[in-house]
Amino acid sequence: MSSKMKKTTTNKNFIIGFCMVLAVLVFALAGLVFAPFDPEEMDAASKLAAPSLKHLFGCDNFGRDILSRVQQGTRMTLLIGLTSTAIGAVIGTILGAVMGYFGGLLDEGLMRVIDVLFAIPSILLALIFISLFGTGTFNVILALGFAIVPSFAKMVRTEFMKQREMDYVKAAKLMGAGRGRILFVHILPNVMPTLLNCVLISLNNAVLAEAGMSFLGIGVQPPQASLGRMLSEAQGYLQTAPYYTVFPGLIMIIMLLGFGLMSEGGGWKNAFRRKSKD
Amino acid sequence: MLSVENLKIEFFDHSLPETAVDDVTFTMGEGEILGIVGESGSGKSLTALSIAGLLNRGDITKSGDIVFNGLNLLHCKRSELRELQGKDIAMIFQEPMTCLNPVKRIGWQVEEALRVHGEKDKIKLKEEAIKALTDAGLEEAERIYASFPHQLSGGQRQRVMIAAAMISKPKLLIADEPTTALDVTVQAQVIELLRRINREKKTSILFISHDLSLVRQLCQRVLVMKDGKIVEQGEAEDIFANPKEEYTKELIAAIPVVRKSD
Repeated sequence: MSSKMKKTTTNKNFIIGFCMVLAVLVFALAGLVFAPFDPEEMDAASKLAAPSLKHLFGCDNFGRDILSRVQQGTRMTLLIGLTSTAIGAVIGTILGAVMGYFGGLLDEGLMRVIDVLFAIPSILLALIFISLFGTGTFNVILALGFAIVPSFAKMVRTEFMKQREMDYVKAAKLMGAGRGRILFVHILPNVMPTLLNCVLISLNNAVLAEAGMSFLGIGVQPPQASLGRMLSEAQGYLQTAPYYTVFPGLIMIIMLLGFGLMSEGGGWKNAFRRKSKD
Repeated sequence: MLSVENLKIEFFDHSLPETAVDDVTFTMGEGEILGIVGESGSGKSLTALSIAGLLNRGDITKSGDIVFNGLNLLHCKRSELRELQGKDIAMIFQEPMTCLNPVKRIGWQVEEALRVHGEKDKIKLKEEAIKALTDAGLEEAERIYASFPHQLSGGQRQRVMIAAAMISKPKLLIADEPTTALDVTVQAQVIELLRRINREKKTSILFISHDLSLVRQLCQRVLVMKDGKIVEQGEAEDIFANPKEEYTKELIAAIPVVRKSD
């Protein structure tokens, strides 16, 4: 009984989160077609204008339409979050799979390196990367992707260590399947549910980290908009033009909460699980 | 067809090496069913795994020779071994619950051995898989082809494993306690299936078990192992009729006999 009830609530969490993320996505992508203004067009007359019918979210200190800029900024933030998570997930999964499956000295060695990286907060890791290679959107993506690798590698490694002892792996080996085939065709699908949850959490972290980096001025460079960049620009006008902070902040909160609910609600595993016989 | 000579398997995961299989020598002819019996830890499964080429760990050393159709499996190249695995040598395991991949459909798993060895034609793969499933005594092969492992019973899964092992018509089938996890009626069916495979396809079967009554039903020759060594070997009937070693006598005495209470 209780497990059944729990299942429906977790499903709800996932679906609410999914809707929130979808809404943000639609809002951001709609900007490509329906943006009311050019996000970089300045209009001195409507400097810091309050929200009105013409400018729904108001205008910033250069008279740029905040709605259009939030749309562009959300796209940028999502783009950075998705690509950096993808980079981190792919590299981390390959590393983790090889380490977990083969074990031995290679695993020991790589694990120590990852432990060291793990000890440094990922934003600091990204900072080091940026200071070495310079700022710019592309470098931000690489830096965040690099910072995400250790957590993926560690998680996937544990899963592969668990799976490699299973009899079905032995059976696959005995059929003459090669190592690559065993790793990525036989074992990887079994790791997918955990991996997808990890991707969601990582998306959340990447979006947050991007905002943090842009807020510190080492992320996206002006005049390009990103949610963190806008928050950082808006902090000087908190009292005179609160809407400048509120709207980018609101979108970011909805997005983060969405990802969080999705991963917390048991993620894929619970929401789209095939109905079992019992 | 298969000859194992002076096989020795040692573990090096503690400070002192530990010998798990010591000086095991035996041969198997084509179409023969050879039984290996012994208690847990007697080295019978390790012997089977090393014949199948599954014992490749850094902390284990193997010495001796395992010659299969002229190829020395202990000293050949990895690629040569893989060429044999799944094609000429196949194996079924003790736990039908865990030896199927839980996220892949049965059909895919049965086809895998053929796919790994280069068959790409999907229609042909499916035909062969359905045929193998039917041959393994599964009715509704079409439905089972599209099922997932969790939708099948233990006996069905073991039959699926046998189908997957037999799909490429191997010369040697290693059965590592294939009936231990099944209940008695299903056990009898699986034994019957193995006997039929041996008769119809001329597949040699290396049958490993600690259940002497099953070995007696199925095997022509028997090896008795204890503490990594072969204590006795010979024709099944001879061994059961007049065991020479004390240990074999004890094992045979331990077969439960059902008596009527009247």
